[in-house]
Amino acid sequence: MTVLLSVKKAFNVALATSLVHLYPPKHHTRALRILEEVLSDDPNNVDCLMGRGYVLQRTEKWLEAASCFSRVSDARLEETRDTIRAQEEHAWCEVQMNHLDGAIAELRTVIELLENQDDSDEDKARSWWRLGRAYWEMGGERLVPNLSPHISKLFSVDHREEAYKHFFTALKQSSSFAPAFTSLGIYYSEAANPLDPIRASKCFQKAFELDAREGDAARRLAEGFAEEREWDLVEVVANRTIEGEGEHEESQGIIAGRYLPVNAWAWKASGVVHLVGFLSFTVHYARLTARVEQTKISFCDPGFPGSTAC
Amino acid sequence: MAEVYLYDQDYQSTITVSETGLELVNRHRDDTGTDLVLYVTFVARDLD
Repeated sequence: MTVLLSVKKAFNVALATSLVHLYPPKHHTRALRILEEVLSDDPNNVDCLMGRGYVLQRTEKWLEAASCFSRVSDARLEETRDTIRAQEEHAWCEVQMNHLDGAIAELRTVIELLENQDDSDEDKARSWWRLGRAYWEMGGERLVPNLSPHISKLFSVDHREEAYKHFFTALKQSSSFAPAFTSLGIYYSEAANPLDPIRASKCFQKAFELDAREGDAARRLAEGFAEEREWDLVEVVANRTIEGEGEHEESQGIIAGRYLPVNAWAWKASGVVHLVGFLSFTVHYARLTARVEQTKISFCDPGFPGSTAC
Repeated sequence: MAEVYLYDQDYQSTITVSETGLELVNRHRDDTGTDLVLYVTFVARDLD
């Protein structure tokens, strides 16, 4: 007979994990409090270490986050789904810290490990996309030093082309992986030869359709619509982005949390749309008033019949 | 149930269920003065 005293802990772990992933980083303060409580009793709790890592990633504390994920991989010797994910997140922290060569090697290992896992298409897509992002961070053509630019160009490598291939591989693994569409859109609008703004716009639209949290795609879409003065579409994109970050959560009767806007541009865009709408409304009424005034003048014109009434 | 919702990535339902569960655990503690204890009984061969 054994005794389980972990009911409360199990609920706390489930609660904290959900608070980490629900409209991040809206509930992270509350999640972190619960995570710290559980970790003080059980310092190697995998779910809590992962949760803490995700919270630290959101605050861009990449070094501390990487240490959390390392603890998970070190705590479990055999390769499980959690350890593979921890390795992947560790590699992603390395990418953000610009330790690109190490991160690329680690991500390739993760992709190999995922090949043996069933039902891991989303994980594979994310890993390929992250590998692509690592190459993207390496930048465009790197000229070899101490050689003339002409010869150096022959030996140079455009890492963004490599990144492009990996973004495509990510989509082959999971055709609904939104971040890959965003990255492809950025490639078409900034790095493709020749640039292809139409295809880029289609990619941003697809990314935003799949996931309203794709802030970069949404911002670029909204900018495009604003340049074309399509204010209704700007408003739709801005409102959906605001909804995607959980602004309307309380209205659905869900737990209260202090609203932390992530995409400030969406609020600005919404404000501009309302201002434009208000201005056009004002201009319309100003014109109407001017017309009435003109009519009034013509009524008051001495030559007008009955003008003595003015 | 919380685990099932969590597996399904239904975070809102996981939060609702976990909060209800924690409330029940706390009420049990308040009513009985003891923490909730679950007993799991193994068949005799497991102990060999």
